[in-house]
Amino acid sequence: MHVVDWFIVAAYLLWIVYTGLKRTTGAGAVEGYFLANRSLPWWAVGLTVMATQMSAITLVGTTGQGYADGMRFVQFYFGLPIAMIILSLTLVPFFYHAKVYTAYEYLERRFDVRTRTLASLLFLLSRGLQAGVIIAAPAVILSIVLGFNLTLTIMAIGLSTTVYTMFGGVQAVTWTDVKQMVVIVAGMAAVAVALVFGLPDDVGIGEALHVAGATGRLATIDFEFNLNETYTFWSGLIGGLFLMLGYFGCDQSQVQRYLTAKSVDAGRYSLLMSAFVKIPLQALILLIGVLVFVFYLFHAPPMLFNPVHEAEVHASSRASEYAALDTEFQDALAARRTAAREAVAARRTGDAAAVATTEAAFVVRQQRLTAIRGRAVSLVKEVTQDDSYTDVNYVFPTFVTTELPVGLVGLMIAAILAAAMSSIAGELNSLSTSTVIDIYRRHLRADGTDQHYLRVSKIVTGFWGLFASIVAMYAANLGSLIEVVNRFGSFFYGSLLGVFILAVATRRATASGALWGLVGGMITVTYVALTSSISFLWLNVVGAIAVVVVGMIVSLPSSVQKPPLSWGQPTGS
Amino acid sequence: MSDSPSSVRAPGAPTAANPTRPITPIYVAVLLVEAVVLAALWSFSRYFGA
Repeated sequence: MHVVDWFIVAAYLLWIVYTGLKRTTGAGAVEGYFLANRSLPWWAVGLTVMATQMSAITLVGTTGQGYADGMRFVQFYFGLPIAMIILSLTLVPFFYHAKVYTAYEYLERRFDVRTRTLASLLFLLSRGLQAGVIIAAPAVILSIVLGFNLTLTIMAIGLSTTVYTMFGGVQAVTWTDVKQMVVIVAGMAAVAVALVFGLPDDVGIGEALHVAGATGRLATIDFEFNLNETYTFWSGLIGGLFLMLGYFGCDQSQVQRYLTAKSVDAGRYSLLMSAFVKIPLQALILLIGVLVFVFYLFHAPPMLFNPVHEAEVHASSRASEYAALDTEFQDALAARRTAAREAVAARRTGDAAAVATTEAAFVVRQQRLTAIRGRAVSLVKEVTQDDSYTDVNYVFPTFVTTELPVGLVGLMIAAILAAAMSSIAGELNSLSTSTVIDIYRRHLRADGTDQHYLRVSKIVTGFWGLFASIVAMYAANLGSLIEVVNRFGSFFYGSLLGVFILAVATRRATASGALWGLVGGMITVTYVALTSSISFLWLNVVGAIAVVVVGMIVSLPSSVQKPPLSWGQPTGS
Repeated sequence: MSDSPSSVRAPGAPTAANPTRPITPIYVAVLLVEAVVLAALWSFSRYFGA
């Protein structure tokens, strides 16, 4: 990297850590440390909600997805606006008026301590590992693309975030997230502009998008109802609805965000900000991936975007095979470039038949190129013994570091770091909250002073930061672990949502019903996942329904009709 | 440290100082904006697509 880019990245890190540490004075008591004394404005909470959800994996993975597959992934978020409305009407006022620190604290009031403890332990396990993966993913990518030392990169991301989160609490998390969202959006906007200006002078952006559209990359909505297809309108609207309800309604890392708002309405507005903005923002990120594809129609991309694995193949006994593939790839590239220019020229004439013919020829060239890349990927898998190998996550970072001008490289690296650190900070703070409130105070020491719990909270935050950094170092070498951890989330959210549905929607559900419903839900989801090929988005629906059904059945023998629920009144089982 | 960090008012109902106001117009706006965005995405893919 150029020294200017190094300066930008270093300045960003120092600025963010300083911003976070400045907030230490606002974290003098536990309520200030975990909930900012419920004083934050809706727009700051709204930005931290978005920043917590958008990790570096979103930034590099989604752009890579756009490059390789197109914009279909945007359907994943179609259920989000409806989920935000439902949460604004139900759980946001419910949690806020219940005066809880954690979502799981409410479960004890409604059911019993077993349900609360099980839910919080599942959250701690899932989020604790996720925090490590969120550190590992960008660290691995940046270390490979830029040649950074992996351990130092993990420490730079993990420990710097831990420091300001540990001392500044949720105020530090929120106000750094606000600034990090600005960096992320500024970076993405600048890259989009650079991509448009990076096209050849004789190729317009509309013409280039038509060429990309010929490959299906600009298809956004698929109305087919197919349970096995991950990205359709229905899986996004229905499966995605359940996923978003579970994530934003039952995951402490998000629930804690809106509990810091200065009022119930501020909490609602913070979620509704995402309802307005999230789909257009994701569409922009995917479009940037498509624009990277368009850029490489007229400039030479590498055959594979992961230089480390490429070097391994070059050093192996199959180097000559790889070299032959690369020669074939270069020929196919040139042919595709010619075909793309012919398609652009045909569109300029307005002759529909010529457009159809040239675009069809371009698609054939693209398919040949894709086939050659597929053979190269297979070769890498055989040489490296890594069946999960894919270079999709390296496309955007490679583009950033090799094609963008000085200064913009630094800004985009800072944006990737911002996305990672904003997610990690929110997760560390919520992990600490649940550990101290749901486990330590509830089970180990109920009679401590506020200052005692504050001290413990900071230590626990530091512990989780260290834990996540260590997990990151192992996760960096276990590619499949990332997939396992991500899949665990899809087993968890739907089932936990089911528990909260039992808690809020009916008085008949008992504590035993909730507990066994949660167990039954997770078993059902596991069974369905292992024995069917339905998309993981639908597993959230399966989990929620299974929990409610099992929970109501278990509750039947002892359930008693009770008056309607009121805010936070202890009910017992 | 108490279970209810804000111990002055009883856990539960909205207060006069912090009422919950209906924000139905914003919910309607969310749904309308989503419909518009989806329509825009669909039109975009139809215009540029194969």
